[in-house]
Amino acid sequence: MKKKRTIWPRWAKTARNFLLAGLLGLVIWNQLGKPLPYTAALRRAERQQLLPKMDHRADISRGYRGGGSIRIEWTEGAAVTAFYLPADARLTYFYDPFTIPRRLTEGPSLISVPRFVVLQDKMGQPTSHAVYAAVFPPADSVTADLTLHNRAGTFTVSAQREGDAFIFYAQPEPDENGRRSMGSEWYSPEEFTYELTFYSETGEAVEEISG
Amino acid sequence: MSEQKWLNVATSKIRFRPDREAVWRELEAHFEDLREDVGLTEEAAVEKMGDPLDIADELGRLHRPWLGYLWRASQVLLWAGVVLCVLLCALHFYWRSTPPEWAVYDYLTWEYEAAADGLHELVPNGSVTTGGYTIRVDRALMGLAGDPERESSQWNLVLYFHINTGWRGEALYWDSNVIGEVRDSAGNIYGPQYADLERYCRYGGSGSAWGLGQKAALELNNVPEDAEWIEFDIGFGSLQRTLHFDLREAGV
Repeated sequence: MKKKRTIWPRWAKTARNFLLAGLLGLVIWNQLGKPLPYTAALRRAERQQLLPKMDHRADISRGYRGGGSIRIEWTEGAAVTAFYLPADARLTYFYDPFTIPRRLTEGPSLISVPRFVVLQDKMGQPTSHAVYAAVFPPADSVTADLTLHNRAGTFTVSAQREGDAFIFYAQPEPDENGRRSMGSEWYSPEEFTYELTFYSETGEAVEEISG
Repeated sequence: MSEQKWLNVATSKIRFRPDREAVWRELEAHFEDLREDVGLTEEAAVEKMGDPLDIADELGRLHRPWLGYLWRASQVLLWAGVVLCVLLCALHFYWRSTPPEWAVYDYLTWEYEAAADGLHELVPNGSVTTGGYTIRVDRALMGLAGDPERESSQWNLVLYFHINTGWRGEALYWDSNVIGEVRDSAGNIYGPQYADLERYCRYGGSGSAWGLGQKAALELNNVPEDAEWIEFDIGFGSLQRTLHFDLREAGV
């Protein structure tokens, strides 16, 4: 005897189709590498690197290539530097942030950013600058001086407090041909040493760290 | 009024075409019944069927078009999903003909296989939970690398981990950033391989398979023979934990 087929009502077929399409959507999303919008992707990268929830944040949007930005987030014991290029996000909307986690010790810390930004030098010419962020500065500090020692020489730069951090921009002097060459000695922590001094509003040195 | 015209008028307010055609056919079958079974003429059948405008209003009210359009949209979406899914899966298997992910278990040990005499199975122990991940030592091997007859021989320890990745199923980054200091009971520190140190670590990690977790391996190079334990820090800040592993040979 031929079994009679159950005829699904249209609403049930519609619901079934949407459900199956949703499941297929999950498979497709998985096949595409589970892309997420930038901030959600950054949070995921932080989870995957066992980074705790970050309390502070600094965005460096000046001079990074392609109109992108560098984001530094930090909390007790940990910091992460992430790089964001809107051109990539525009193409795909989704973006897998490139992140560099750091362990921090107690008190102020200096984070070197392994990317250069292009800013105008004293002559008004656009030139590459190395970027450093001093995080967890003393509460009463207003300005800070950073002295860097790397194989290109010794350099001192100053910065004003910007929210929760001090952001320093440094560059070498030009050579006889007017060129500045910058390599990993400007950001690799193994390749430079530094002294960082924080000053209060009255100009009094509040704290000094080195590394 | 002809039968065809009556049918067209009666179904004219059903906006979803597949429904309109189905109702049209059904009403046409009624006409056939009236003509062939009851023996009415076409004019009489049209008369008996009633005013087509009234019927059109009623049918238009009963057959809501949005459900039809939604149904059609769901069909299109489903088929598009099937096609895209098949395409992506085919590409995936084309580019990655062998699933390499979990082969990480063999990745770091293949070089010891040739010297099976120098392999010692250790008792797996030690686990740590942090940030939604549970990392457990699944297996541990101590292997003699190099020529045992020569002084350059050294003991290498390979730890195999199973990582429970939780409901999210996101793979844990398994590298020298996330794994902090690696040390042994003799006070030795193992750094990344590229740091050109006497004792170093190598890392290997798979992706995460949802519901199954992740596999990872850690090789410690040049472990002293008398070392009693090794431990390493994993994670950052408040999520940092220490995994302790006792070096105990199995069956001893």
